Amino acid sequence: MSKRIRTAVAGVVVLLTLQIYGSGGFPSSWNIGLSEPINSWQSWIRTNRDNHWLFTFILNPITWIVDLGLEFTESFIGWLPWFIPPIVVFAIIARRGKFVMAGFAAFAVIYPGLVGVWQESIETISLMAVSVGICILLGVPIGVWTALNKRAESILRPILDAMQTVPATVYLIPIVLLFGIGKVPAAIATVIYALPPMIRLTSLGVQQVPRSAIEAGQMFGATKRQILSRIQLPLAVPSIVAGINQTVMMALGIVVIATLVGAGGLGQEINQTVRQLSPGRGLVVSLAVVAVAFVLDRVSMSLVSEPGSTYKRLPRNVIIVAIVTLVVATVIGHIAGWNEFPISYGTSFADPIDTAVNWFRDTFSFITRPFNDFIVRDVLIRAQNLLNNSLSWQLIVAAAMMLSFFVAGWKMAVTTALGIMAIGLTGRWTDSVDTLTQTIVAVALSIAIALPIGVWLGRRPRAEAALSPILDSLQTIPPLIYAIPFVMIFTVGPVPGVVAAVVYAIPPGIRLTSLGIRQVNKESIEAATTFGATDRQVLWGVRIPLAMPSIILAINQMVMMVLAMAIIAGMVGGGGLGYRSIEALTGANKGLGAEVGVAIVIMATILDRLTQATAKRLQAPAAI
Amino acid sequence: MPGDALNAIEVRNVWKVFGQGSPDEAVALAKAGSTRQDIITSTDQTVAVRDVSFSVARGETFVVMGLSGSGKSTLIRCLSRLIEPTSGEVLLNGENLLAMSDDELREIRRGKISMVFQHFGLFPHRKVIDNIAYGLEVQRVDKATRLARATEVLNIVGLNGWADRYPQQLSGGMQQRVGLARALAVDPEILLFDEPFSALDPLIRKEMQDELIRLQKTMQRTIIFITHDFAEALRLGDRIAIMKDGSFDQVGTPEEIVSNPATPYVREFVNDVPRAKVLSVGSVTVSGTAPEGARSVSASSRIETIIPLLLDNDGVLRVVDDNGVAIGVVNRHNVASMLQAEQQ
Repeated sequence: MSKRIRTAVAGVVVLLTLQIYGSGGFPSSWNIGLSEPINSWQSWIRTNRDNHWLFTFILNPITWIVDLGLEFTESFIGWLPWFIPPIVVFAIIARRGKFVMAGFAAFAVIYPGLVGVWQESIETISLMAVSVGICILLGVPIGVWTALNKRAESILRPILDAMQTVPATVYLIPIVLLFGIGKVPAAIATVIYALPPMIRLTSLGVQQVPRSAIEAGQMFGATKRQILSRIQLPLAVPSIVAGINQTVMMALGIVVIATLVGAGGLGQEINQTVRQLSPGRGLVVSLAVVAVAFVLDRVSMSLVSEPGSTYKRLPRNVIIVAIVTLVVATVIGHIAGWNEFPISYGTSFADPIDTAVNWFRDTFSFITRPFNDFIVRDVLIRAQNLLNNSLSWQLIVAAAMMLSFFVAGWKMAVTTALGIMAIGLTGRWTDSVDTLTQTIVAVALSIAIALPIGVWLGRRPRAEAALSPILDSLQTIPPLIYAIPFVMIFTVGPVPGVVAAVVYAIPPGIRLTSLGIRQVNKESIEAATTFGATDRQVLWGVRIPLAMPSIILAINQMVMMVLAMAIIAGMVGGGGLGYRSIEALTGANKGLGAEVGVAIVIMATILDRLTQATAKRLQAPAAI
Repeated sequence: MPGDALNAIEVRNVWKVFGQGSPDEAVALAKAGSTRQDIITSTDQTVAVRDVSFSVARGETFVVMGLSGSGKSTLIRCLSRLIEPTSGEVLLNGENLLAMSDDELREIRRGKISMVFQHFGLFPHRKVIDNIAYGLEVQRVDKATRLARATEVLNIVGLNGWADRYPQQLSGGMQQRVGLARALAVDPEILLFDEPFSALDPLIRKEMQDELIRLQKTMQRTIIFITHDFAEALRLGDRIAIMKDGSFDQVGTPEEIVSNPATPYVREFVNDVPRAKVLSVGSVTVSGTAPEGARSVSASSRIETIIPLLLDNDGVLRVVDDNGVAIGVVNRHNVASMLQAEQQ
């Protein structure tokens, strides 16, 4: 008998033993009570809010400053006549000669006014501007620091990872406890959520400065400070701009969730459309969010010039005349009272969409109903039953451990086993099983859709270029919006959450897959072709195997995005950890949030590491 | 003052060990004769530079030739302390560079040593002229002066009219001219070249070598030049060091190395060299007196230059030294047997 077969038999015997002698479900008496310290902390805050130094000297001043910034920005933009912002945006972009783009951006500024959410979009833009401003002020210095200091990097990296995996609803809880409800906690939550890419990309930019450029600086006797300010920072500018861009996108992504703590603005509007189940209005308002993102993105891009790019500067006189004219127009406009946006078409855009969704629901119910029932009854409930009752928890731990060992070795096996047991110890075993089964179903569907499309697109650059704006905008729409039409089509329950997660996760999956296929070494393909391989043989024998690491990375990204949707799934009746986190945020039992947070971070970490390790295993050995 | 005052730079027993922990064990093993691979296996450390000593005279071009992994790049970085050597001394006018404080080192780098990099090391965010003026800017030279100097050097390297372009708008050869101009702008005593032409295609490489030879004729700087190209080493070097596994296999003039390779490794390179282009007439001269009427040739000229004379004359040629004094003779047989040796 070969060694491999013997190992397999031993494994099966172990699993059977655990199944026979183990118990179903994680013993609830083993709950370690994570929620208690949070709850007692909550009551401590309640009694000390007015007199403790933490509040009077640290938190209240922060609140005061952020509030001042928000008030100022909001009232300043509100004070401007409505036609000034589109003109300014047009001018900033058009000065580079990009008139078409400038026209689009100016229209994007007006769009929220046209659909009747002008005031709300001003609130959102102010919140975003202040949050992104704070992110830049904090993120650039921290990024530079981590780039230059290895120890700082090794300390900060896990914190940044955690900041991005903890669901927003979970870390909103301590913020609400400390800062209460309102725009300030919303801004602070946005900063925490959007800060990591700013730090990461700044750090990356500084680290990626060519070694020879730094050595040249050293060889001419430049001091460290001179090297930083004259060489490293200027060369990191493109990366820092990308960081600002990412930060803006992240901040927009949290717009809807921030309304749970009182952010107001466009997010509030979107939240209401979910409650009223009106997908048309939801889409129209979401497009306002997309428009805001587009404008902020384009303006920030065109404010910074790439090193070495050459374009004609406008003569100084022209700039001065333009600014004076703008100021005069602003004052006249303000005195004349042209502040409010003059026209609004309100919901007239939305009605046809509502009609279309209703038509779709009624026409295709013969497909959607059975699909819904199949996923819920035959897949989710069975899987949950299996994991909660039929299989013993000891068997689940051991099986997961064996899988991890097979993929990534002993360390990962131990991490997985400890992680799963830790989830059990938080007392959120059942909720975690809910979320896990939904995640697996959503990921399976995403893979089935995204990979074939990605492989197909990878060999057709023109088709990909045509699809690219659609994929982009799918990534900018707030995740909750995806869910609305699916709730209407599938009724409340886990399925709309799953389907929305699939739609949300597919774009990066397609992107990474097609990237992997496209980047396969040309010579390998030419070699295969000269040996007479058919297109199909090239695809399956060369392209896909060589693109495998990238494909696994695509799966990894999809897993992460599906998990990020768990909260949204909770909002539309998906249950599981997402539902619990909202319950914790909006209800009295804040401690529940800690349990959910720990459980979901552990789950995300394990799934992340496992897929990454798989990708590494499949990577062809690097050339020497 | 220690050291020979004629030497611009003197390198004594420089070691560089890469890896975690104390280098002592690796150094001890290397001294006992272990190979680099053995040391990696037993200590997990790499001996990149192994007890290297040499000196370079003022105005001399010293070429270190080695293949990738031989430690030549590490060596040149140790000389400028871009990499901190494990031990040893680098004497500059008798002062040990390795013992200097950061401030002292910075002063030396600002005025005395400049470096030209393999991938040019230009600053993509600065115009050509500002790249060249960088060294002066770091020294806080005022703008008018440094731009004037930069323009001057720009013309020397033949880039007139390119001042306001950005480096990435230039071809590779032109970019390296900028790198060279940047190094020259600070008027350094010593120029370090780290494989400056290896990223260029062969024709441009030859052109840049000619340019350097031309410049060096007028400049007379002390040059330490790293390359993996043996032909380049022969063209440029007053003396050449062949480096392998962290130490020098042989140091000598091009002629010494070609006529008398010290190790089988050096012979590998020498075998591919057309010897008639490198060796001088003196190296094949035998004692004897030429008959009346024989042509005279200079001992220091290259053998290839006398081949036509040998073909025309049946007999022997008289060999004279630089002062015109006869020192021996050479005939077809001597040259043919030298060329024969090349085949083996």
